Amino acid sequence: MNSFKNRYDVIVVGAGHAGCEGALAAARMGCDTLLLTIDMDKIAAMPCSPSIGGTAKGQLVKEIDALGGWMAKISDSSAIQYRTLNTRKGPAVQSTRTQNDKNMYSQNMKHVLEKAENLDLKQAMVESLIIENNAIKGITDNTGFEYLAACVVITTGTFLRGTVHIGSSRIQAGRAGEFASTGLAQSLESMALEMGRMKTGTPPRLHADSIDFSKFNVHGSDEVIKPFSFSTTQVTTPMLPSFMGQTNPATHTVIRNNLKYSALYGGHIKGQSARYCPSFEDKVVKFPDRESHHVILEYEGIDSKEIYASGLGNSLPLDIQYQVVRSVKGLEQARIMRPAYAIEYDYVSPLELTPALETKKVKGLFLAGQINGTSGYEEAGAQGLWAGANAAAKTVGRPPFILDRSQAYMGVMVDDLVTRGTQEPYRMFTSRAEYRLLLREDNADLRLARIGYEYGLTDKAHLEEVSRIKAATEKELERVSRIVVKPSDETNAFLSRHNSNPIDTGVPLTQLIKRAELSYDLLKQISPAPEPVQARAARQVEIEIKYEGYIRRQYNEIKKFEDLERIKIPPEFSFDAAHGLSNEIREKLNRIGPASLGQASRIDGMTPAAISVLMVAISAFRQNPSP
Amino acid sequence: MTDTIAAIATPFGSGGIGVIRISGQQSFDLAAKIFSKTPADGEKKAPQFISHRVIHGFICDGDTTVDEVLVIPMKGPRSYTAEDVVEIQAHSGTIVLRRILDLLFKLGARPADPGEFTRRAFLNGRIDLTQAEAVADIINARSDSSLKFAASQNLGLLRQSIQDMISVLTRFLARLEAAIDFPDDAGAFSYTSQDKTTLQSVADKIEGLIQQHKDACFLKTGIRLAICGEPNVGKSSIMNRILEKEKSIITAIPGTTRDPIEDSLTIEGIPFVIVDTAGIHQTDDLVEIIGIEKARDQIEAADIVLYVIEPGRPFPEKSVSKILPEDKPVIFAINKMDLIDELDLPQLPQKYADISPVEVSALTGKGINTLRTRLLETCIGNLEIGDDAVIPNLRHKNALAQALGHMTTMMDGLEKGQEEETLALDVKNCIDHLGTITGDTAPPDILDAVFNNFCIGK
Repeated sequence: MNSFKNRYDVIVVGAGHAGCEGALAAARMGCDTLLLTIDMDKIAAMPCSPSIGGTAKGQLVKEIDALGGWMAKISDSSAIQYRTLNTRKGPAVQSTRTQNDKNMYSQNMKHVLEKAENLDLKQAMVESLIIENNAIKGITDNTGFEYLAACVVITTGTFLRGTVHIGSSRIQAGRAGEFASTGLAQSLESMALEMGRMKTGTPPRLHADSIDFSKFNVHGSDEVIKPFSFSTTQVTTPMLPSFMGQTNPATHTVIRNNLKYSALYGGHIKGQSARYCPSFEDKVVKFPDRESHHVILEYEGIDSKEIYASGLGNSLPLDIQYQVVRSVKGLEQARIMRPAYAIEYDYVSPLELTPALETKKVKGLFLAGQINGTSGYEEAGAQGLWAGANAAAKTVGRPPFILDRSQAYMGVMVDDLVTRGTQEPYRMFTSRAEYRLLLREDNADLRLARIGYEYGLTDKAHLEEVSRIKAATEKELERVSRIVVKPSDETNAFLSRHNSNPIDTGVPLTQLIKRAELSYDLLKQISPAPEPVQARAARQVEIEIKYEGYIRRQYNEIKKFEDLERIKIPPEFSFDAAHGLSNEIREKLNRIGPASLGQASRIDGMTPAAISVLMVAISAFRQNPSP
Repeated sequence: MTDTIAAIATPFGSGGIGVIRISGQQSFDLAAKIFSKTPADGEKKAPQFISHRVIHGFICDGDTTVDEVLVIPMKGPRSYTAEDVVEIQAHSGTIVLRRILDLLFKLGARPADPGEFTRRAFLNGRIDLTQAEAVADIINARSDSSLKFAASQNLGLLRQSIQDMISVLTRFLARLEAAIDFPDDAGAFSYTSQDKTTLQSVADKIEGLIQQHKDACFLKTGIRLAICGEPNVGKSSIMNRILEKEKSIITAIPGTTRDPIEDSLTIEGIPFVIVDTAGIHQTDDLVEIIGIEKARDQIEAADIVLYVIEPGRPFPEKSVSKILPEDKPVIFAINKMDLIDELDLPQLPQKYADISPVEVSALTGKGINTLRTRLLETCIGNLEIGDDAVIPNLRHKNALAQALGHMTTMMDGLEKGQEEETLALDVKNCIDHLGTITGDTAPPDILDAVFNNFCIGK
């Protein structure tokens, strides 16, 4: 018989950011896992910007890290720049962003996959899915070979019928220079999944030696490096700067004169693009009054001469791209190494998915990443982990791995996707998270350690470490909240040194900590803890006190949210039986099949009246399940 | 939702007809079973119900005719509740109506819960939350003007006003969010004087609505007018003249009115509740002392005070200053003008010199109309409620007060340069509270609160 293995618990198709996290999560949970990639040299590739994190995305990466995922650790091992964004705002909306050496990132992830237990990494192009009785059985590759598993996670990114556009030229490609996947697209289509088309794009890469960097403002890395991963203690890679410049009216004239040659404006592109990530043509057309837009030059790697020219993404023919690029000050002699391009690809409507990211039509088939209509490495990685954990949970007979909107950005994203679908490539924003003051980078592991450990995503040592931080935080909060600072010459001298008003009666220490010009760290000098408080706990104490009223308010909001979330809609419940719903709402409910009244309430166009109708109908159904 | 409910839809004991409303799947069947086109002693003729067509006949209980009625069958969704509805117009009288209802209950209908008809209309998508409340207000409306205000709310004016504010706040929130989520593109958030003006105008608008609620409370519950004065100056007679009927027992014995006596009337559509109080003076009679205490409470609870004096008695400055409140409008009336010469009028003390007393005679009715007009002017002068006014009810007022609290916190925070993400939470909470008024984000507990305020039958 077969001398090689072709049966697994979980198969993950595609080794991008979603696939890598998915396969690693399933393997951590003890499942025999196979990860298939079209190209062994393109693992965890960064086809667009050479960076990880950013507002809201940084939070996702920290959550992946808190659940034992690898994105943050790999990012630390390949970082060439660190920046904490929004440092002038509060801790809830501060986010880490790294710039990375792309090759190093890919190589380091490959090493992790190669070394991982329970994980096989193989190169193969999947041609079709094996489905019997509406359940997945495995996949067939393009040589006709079969791999079998009861759970399959598809993470094919932009490869489904990918079409690269440069001017009027159109190339079938998953990414520039790579095979598109058409067989798999047909396979998915034959399952009658609702599909759509989206568009994204990437700017040109320029040769470093052809750029006059003196015409740009230099932005260096943060002076104090704060590693991405909770487990990283040291960053050893060299830091590189990035460069900020501007386009000018001449640049915009080139665009205006050549719009007809743009794939986007020449009518070649039908896919939906994202409003938050416009191509340069879009910016010029939609903001005609602006005389300049940012151009940011970033290194793609330590040993690479390729420079990522952020802000100049377009779908123009190469000769016009040259005119655009060279009109920018400092880029007069620039040589384009890789042209900018737009890419169109198929995605599956996420409304086809359960909150576990499993398709409703085919049991055991999970989808994660760009195939679900999202954008971004971080969004992909988070969904990959989520889908991989759910494939593994299903294999070992555990309940689905689901975080709700009050627990994690991941939970917000998945709930948004499976409840509201998406009309444009979905990107994470902090404003999507209604409990954002609680869902911070700094407490991602504190929030998720317990569930991560319960599902086997992280180990006991991690949980214990987190428990120690939490205990130390509570102890110190308790101590601080009991202290009243008495007015004294010494105290008032200290306050005036820090531009803070003196006190003439006893004031609770927490009140002083809340003053904008003071902090927990500073006030340690007045009221030191009997034994040193570890840095993570001290930071939590500071945040808890500074945000206090707001945090309490968010907890109260969560209580209300949970009330509706707890009312589950039985799977056998028929929305047709709920008397008094409009046809439009009924259709949506049937299509989306919300698992709880809470989820139903977030469906687009849902009214309080319809929710009341549902509530009545569900309780009637519970009392008398037969119609 | 599928069971059939029935209730008396008209107020008890008033009007010439009483209406029984039945709603639910079985309403047509149930009505048909108790209805006959001929009286019970004749040959029974089953009705032919045609939707929205009035049919005349009799309600029969076996061989007994209960009442002669008009029946209006209405097929859903073209009905009040959007379900099948039958309305039976019978002769008003509690016993008759109860008998008809009992017949329906025996056949399987269920007594409607308070507000259940409107609740069903709401749940079936016939009306939105503000409209549902407006219906409650229409039912409770006691006067023409409050009915008018309730009706304007029904047209969605309040909704529009709230939505306007929400859209201003949403635009502001969007700027905060942009600064948070796109720090590189959107740049830093800055609080301009233009913002301050815009936000202040929203806060003012919310405050204005809260004030209109307070003003409108007068219109819904009636303006409380306390009539007071020394014993036997004719307080009760004046009250009766204003009401134009005998309510208080009038005798020539001072101190006849010991318990405050209340009645209501409308003057040009504005409802008043008039309270006659015991005469206030020094007394040793225990019953009278209690009466005077009560009178003080009434004055405390009143919105306006009518102080009655009579010619020939000195103005009781001491007791007046003790009992008359500083913060309420006061009208002085000089009664018994029929008895004296106009030159012998009592002098009002300096403090009240600006108020010209109204001269009346409860005996002849002279000056009573002037007094009514004065009452109206004094009360309504401060109420700026036009025909298109928006009147928030108590639930709205509470939501508005919450929203205002968040507005205040947020605007303080803006002055202090507080972080965007905490400011945003206040804006969002403010929007949420405003949203509960229109029901756009109404959680179910609000619905319960709304519907608990309904009386049976609507």
